[in-house]
Amino acid sequence: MSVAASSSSSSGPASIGQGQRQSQGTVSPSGSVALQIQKTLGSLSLEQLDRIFSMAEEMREEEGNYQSPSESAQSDWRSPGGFDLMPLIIGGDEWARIEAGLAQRVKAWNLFLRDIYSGQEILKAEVVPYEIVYADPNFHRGCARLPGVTASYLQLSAFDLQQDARGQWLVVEDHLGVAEGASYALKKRQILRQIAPRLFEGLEILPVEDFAAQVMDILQELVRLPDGRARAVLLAQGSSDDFYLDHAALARQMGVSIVQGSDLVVLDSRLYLKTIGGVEVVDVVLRRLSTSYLDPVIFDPSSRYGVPGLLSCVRKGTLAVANGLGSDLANNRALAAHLPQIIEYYMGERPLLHSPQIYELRDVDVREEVADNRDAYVIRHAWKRGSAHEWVARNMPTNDWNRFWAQVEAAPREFVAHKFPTQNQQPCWTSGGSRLMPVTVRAFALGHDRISSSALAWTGPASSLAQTTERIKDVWILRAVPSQPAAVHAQAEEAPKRLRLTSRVAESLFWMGRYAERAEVTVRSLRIVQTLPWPTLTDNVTARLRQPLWAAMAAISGHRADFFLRPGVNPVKQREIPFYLLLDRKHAGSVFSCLMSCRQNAENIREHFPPEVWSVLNHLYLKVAVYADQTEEEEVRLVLEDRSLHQEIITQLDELTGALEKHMLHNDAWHFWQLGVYAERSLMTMLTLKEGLAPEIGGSPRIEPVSSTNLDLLLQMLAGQYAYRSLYHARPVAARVARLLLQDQEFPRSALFCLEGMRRALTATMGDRPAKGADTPLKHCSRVITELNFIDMANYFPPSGGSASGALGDDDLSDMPTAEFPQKLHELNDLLLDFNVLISDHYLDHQVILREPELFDLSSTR
Amino acid sequence: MIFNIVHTTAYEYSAPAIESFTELRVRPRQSNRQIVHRHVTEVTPRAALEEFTDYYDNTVECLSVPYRHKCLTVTSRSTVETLPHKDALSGLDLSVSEAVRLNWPQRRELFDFLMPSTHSPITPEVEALARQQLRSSGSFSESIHGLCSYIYETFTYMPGVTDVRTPLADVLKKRQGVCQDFAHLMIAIVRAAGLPARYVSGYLETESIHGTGALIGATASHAWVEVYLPSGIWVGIDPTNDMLEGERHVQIGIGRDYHDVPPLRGVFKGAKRQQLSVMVTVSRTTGETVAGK
Repeated sequence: MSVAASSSSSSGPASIGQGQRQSQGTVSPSGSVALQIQKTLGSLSLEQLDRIFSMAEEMREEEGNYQSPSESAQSDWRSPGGFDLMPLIIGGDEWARIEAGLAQRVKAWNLFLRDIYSGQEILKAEVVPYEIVYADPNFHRGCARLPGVTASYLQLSAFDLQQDARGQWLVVEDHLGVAEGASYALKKRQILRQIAPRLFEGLEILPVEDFAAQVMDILQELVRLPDGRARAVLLAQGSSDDFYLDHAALARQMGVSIVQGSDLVVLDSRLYLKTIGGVEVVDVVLRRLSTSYLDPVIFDPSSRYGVPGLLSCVRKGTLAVANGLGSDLANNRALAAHLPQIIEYYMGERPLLHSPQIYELRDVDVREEVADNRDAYVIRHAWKRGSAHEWVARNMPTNDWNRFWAQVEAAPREFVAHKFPTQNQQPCWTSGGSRLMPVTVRAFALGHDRISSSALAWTGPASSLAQTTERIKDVWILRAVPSQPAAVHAQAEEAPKRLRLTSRVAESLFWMGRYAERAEVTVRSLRIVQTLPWPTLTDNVTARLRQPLWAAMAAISGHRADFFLRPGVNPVKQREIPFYLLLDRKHAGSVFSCLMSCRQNAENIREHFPPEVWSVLNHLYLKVAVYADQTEEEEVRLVLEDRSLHQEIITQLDELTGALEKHMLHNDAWHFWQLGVYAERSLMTMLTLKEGLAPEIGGSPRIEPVSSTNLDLLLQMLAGQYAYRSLYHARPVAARVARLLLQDQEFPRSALFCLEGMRRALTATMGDRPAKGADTPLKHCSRVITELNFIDMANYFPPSGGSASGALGDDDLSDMPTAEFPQKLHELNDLLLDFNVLISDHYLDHQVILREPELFDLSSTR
Repeated sequence: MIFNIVHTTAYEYSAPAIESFTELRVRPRQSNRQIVHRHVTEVTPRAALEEFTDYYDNTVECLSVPYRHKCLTVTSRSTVETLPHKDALSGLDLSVSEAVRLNWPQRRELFDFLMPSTHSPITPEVEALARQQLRSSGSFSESIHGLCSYIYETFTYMPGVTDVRTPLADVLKKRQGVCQDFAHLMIAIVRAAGLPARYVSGYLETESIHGTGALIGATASHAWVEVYLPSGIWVGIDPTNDMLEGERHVQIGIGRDYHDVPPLRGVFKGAKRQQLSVMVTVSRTTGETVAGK
């Protein structure tokens, strides 16, 4: 297959070196490498190419767990043409010029930020118009004169570059608040190395692998703790962020926790991370949120992502934030228009790298020019980023334009314009063939003078990186790797402290377990109860007999036991019961609501369990959601009636448990899932038993002989029929059923079994060096276990008539519990409920540690 | 005059709250018009107070209560001596447009107080009022006094009709509000005319003592306005009482509007609802209490 034949665009191979030719017409080193790679690619057979692309696809699917929301929304995200084999080649000298230019730029911006948040000399000198700064909402007055920050604002910044038609590199955008995307470079390089190792043969290119370690070094330099390493966290918005993939990958590579605001708490002007092992000091935050979101007390009060009091820690000097608070200001495009003057003012230099001309619309003459020749311009918001804040006049109907222009006239300071760039095109090689495309490069600066070799490039609009992770190109910088002294990253390679699970993640897993279990018990019970006669039918004898089972169903689904027995009050009609308990969105206890809550918790912590688990859970949820949306359909009525939906949900919940068991590391996260499952199950078993044997109808427990049919049904509700038969080979007897459900050591739904499971999980999560009092939940667990073991069924099901002499067989025991039996279950129930508070106080909110300070002053009388 | 001021704010939560973090701006500022002899802030439940100075030089105290608590009470006690100062506004002989022009060299320093802000937006209604009340050829001092009287006469002091979130447009429509609303309105009109104005948060002695007359406003904190004079002086003016700031006004802090100087701002987790109660007493005292301290 020849290059020409595979090329889908009109430009043939001859034009492909364009832009990499030097002015004299000789081919530059980068140009010749590009030609060589294209030749290699051109020599591959169709089959070889197919194999390469399907390998790329497979590798991507392995990572597919972390699709960002905008990617999954995009229809072409799995388009086969997506993977670009052709790297962007940048020569060593060319890169050196870029490095020097960016280093100068980042230094200038740092000096500018320092000045603006202290003396504002540059504004007094009228080098930069003060209105641009003062009117920008990212100029945070609360960040002025913060100690620590004033030395260094920029630890990790990014710059987007494009080549103009003459091959000149221009900086088209600065990212000085947060700089995202670097992990994509690493991922791309890894895949390319694996699927097309031949391309790398004989070339010396700079590595991308040490980016995370370099970022870590920069953070350590920023804090410089005299004793040991600073504890860092990466603070992000969570899975709803377009760059969530990048955040999670960077945190993983750096070996730090990726956290959200609710993971952190401020205590006496220090920042702490809440983990299941207690609170841990945080020394430095790598932020992936703009300053406005970081502290709801100081900045945007509606922010759900920040940490109240974070700024007070910075003010006290106990915490460093990278990039420095308020640095987002420098993203203002109108400020960038004045960068040459800024460089001149602080450094006495001329800019080494240029930018396309920026037209500031606050100038009335500029406004007129742009309005008159609007087709030549693209207009952008001065400080808001993304395609929603870019306007292209030639795509707009006149009416829209007029409306838009009125906005500009009302607040001209908020807008800038650019001429349409004439961009240089670069060769791309996808399964669709080779073609030329305009490319944007993102380079990263670490601190003030180092430019990372982890650059990446992408095709498509410059502002679309978050949406185009599939169109990323690897960037190859042709330079021999400098032989590094081995000790450079020695610090980073120290065995890192094991990261404890954060409390928020633990809480989500706990609730995932609880909701999944609640859904299961509900659907299992419904499958049985649904076939029983309506409990309030007066002319049906069986109906009254089965009332305890309805009471159990009501309790399981979060209602009073007599919920189904009060015809006047009860809002649910008989034939609506399956819908109400299974699919009703408005009922918080419905299976659908439980699955939704389970999935929501899962979605927030997706990086903590394997993709297999997510895929089962998501599939189950979506399936049930489809039914919940089509309740008017005949088919839905049918699957509710013949209980095939019930069976399907049960099967898939089994699959979920299986996937978790098999694919998840049995670590702290797993233990919290288990804790949730067992906590919920023990409660549910207890409730079912209590209502099934002594239903609380009319305000007090109804004590009657329990029929063996009812016991049989009760066992079925708890999937215990098989267990009972295996153990007793006889018809169910009340005392035996009670024993099985409460005290059996082998039956997975018995209360005892669940509590033993909880005890295992609690023991495992205590860690190596538990804090004082950390074993309180464990002690409580042991206490409940002891209580359970000490229950003697003979006391609660006394033999009818006979005195308690000699050894009594179960068959001698009564088929009717005493009034003390529901009382005992009630006590046990309360003990189980105490776990919620204990777990939350010890592992989640840490109320045990965060106690009100006590006075130690001896002279004070309390 | 010397005042003992006790400012108590109590939050009662519907359920125990945790992780609350609060910023207080209740310490009267030191200036050539007032001397702060004493200031203490007490918090229940116990929490350490941190202190800092904000962008507009107001003193801020902040505290965090991470553990479970059912209520939060903050009491600040200040002893402040206000000094008599002469009326810098009334004698000025210049027009509104001259004042605008004379301020021009200070535009950078004054920028924050010339621009519209969250609570003082410059809407078409505000612009119309500015044209009507602050005509460019009119006398600067008479126009400012006139605007103050206009607000006093046109709007009715009516607690409970508005709150912090009520937009200026509603206040204009209802013609009712409290000191905060009147201050925001006056600021917006003054700024619309191209003149700098800022928001003052403070206290006011309301009771009539020794026949000085009762004043409107302060069962809680009071708010008024400062207008910038080309001579470089900020002069205080109180549209709620149609008067210049006097010895019975005690300043806490200044800002672009309420948003910059709320007496108390905080967040908490846990509880869904909270009941807020504020009690302020401003009582005049004799010099001995200060000296004896």
